[in-house]
Amino acid sequence: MLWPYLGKEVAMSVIKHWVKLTSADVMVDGVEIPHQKHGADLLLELFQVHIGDYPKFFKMDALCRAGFVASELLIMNNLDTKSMEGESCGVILFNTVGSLATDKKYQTTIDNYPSPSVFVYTLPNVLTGEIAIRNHYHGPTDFIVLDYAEASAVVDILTYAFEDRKLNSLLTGWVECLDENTFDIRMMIVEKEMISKKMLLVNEFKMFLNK
Amino acid sequence: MEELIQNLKKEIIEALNLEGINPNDIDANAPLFEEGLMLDSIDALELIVLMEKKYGIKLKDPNEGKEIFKSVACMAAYIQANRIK
Amino acid sequence: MVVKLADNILSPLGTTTAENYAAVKAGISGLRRHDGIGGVREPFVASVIPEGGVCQSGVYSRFEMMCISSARQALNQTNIDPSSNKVLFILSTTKGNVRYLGTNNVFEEPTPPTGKVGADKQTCMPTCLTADRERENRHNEKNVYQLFRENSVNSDCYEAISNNLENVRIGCSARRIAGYFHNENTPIAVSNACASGVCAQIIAMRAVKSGNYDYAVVIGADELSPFIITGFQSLKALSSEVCKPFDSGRQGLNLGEAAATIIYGKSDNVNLQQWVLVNGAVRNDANHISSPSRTGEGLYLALMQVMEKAQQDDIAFINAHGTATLYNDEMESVVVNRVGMQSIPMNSMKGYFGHTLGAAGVLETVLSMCAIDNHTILATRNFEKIGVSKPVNISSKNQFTDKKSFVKLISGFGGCNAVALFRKGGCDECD
Repeated sequence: MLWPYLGKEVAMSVIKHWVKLTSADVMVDGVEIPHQKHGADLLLELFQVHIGDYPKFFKMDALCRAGFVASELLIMNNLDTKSMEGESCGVILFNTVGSLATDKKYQTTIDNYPSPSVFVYTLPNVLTGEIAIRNHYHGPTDFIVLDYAEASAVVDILTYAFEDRKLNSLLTGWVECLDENTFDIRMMIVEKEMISKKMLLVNEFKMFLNK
Repeated sequence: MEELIQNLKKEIIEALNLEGINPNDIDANAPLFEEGLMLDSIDALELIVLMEKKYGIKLKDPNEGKEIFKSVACMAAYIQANRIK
Repeated sequence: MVVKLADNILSPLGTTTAENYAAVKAGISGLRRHDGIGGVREPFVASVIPEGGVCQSGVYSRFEMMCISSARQALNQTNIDPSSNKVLFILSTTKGNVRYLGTNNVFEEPTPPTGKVGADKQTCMPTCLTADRERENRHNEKNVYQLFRENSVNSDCYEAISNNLENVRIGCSARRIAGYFHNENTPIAVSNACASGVCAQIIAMRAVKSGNYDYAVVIGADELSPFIITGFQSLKALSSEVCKPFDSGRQGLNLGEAAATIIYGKSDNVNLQQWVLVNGAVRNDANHISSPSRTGEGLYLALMQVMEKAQQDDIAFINAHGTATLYNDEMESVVVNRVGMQSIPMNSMKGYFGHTLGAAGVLETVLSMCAIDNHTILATRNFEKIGVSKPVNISSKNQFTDKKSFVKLISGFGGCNAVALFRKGGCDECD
């Protein structure tokens, strides 16, 4: 697998399946996904073109929409991840802001009519739940907030998760969202056996975040 | 009553983010939950907010909602009988 | 084996674990009715730490001071040097500093709720902590955003984050709390809604087992704010009276605020007095983001996994989540029956503390350990008549036990469920 990184191609040996979805940029396993729109409209475009027929999407907050679309692109483009389900699959996501975008939105409703449908999204791990629901993943789900993107801390936490002997693969990554038009999602699939190559994984994850 | 039902359909679509659904797509007598619009428990709570916000009706017990939110027509009838604004 | 080395509970019932346990054993609750306070119009029943119950600081927010006070009390019971790079801080919280969302300055204290607490018990004051300017300066030297930028470049989003609302980010709180103890490891903030407190302990157990760290300090905490209270009100999840877990008259939950700490370390020779975190599991319902699954799929899978090698006969009790909402308690009764553990006594602590959110998993674990140390299965306060569809053995009064293990259940939004098994004095299958 070759990654375009800082203008040159760098060989990636551990992380095989990944997606990058920002307000302006969509890439799966190194391949650009064609699109016209930006920000929130980009998510809608990707949903309509590639996903469709999942009305729950329209209920989701900004973080969940971005994270959900990214997870779908990642999974549907990989034959070996499509059939994953059950206890052997988990979701562990990371960011620095939690559910800040929706927290701010809910805060504006407090003084008049607090909105229950906004409030339920003021917990970032609802995204891990949305992905688990869509894919029938019953394995562990965690949402971890770190003060900054530190690859070795992320890989440590993934390593701890694989102590669960039933877990074989994790959908994981970094999922920031500041408002409906400003997001940066980097997701990947990590398999149990990759964990033994810890240093490689840390380096590749670092590269991945910097892409 | 017809006007209230029409308005209510628009308000429900807006409050529940029912993307791609027009007021005319909603049958006023069709069930809102489980079939029909496939609304869920959070939608029911949002309907409670809608009733208070637009019509000044406060539901104390969410269980009351089960009867009231059976269909748009049920909701409209309840609103007509109990509205404060 | 991973053993508990120290603990603390800071709640309206006391500032030490012993005070909290004594109050609970005596049947005292922190739940009170609060009318129109803190910007919340509707009255509510909650367990609130009264004004003055948390030391104020010019450096740390009230929430952070709760965490620091609790962690400090626990650390003081040990010889651990918290600044060591072999110590990991793990924070379990749902909303951290969220009350400052509407304000510009984290240190501009909004008026805290002043409910009448302490009518049946003198509320205790924590040892006041002096704001340590030196520590603050030291912490500020390390500009976290500098580090952040070094790690992540070329994105509008990351740029925006570095200029945005650092005070309410829970990762920032975690950094400040660890910074108080001069600890420079990246602290982990677990944000798994109400299940966070047990998830955090499971991460702590594995972090210590891995050898990466000698000690893990798990702090669970949440403070009440209009944000949280109005949110649960909008969900119609709150009871207008004291909550009644598993009771036929239960109407919903009460919220509570607390901070609790458990410190875990490694031990090759577990003595009879030591508490071992035997194992734990996290599983998702994959059913609904805010309602528990009717079959309790996630909790069932987690409990099955944890009980795989354990003997049911050794379990003194199951400490349930027991929030007293209709669906949660019903779901737990279904799960306990599916696993065949319905005859084991089960209790809920929510009638004493309310639902303390991010603190719950840690607080209820500490309290359950105290109960077994005291040969007691604690009563489920306010429980009278069974109100779930499957038979469960709810502990309605304090009773004797000589067993040494218990199971902790917890569930939360996002469909997340966590279960952990604890045993005093170690065991053969512990590794």
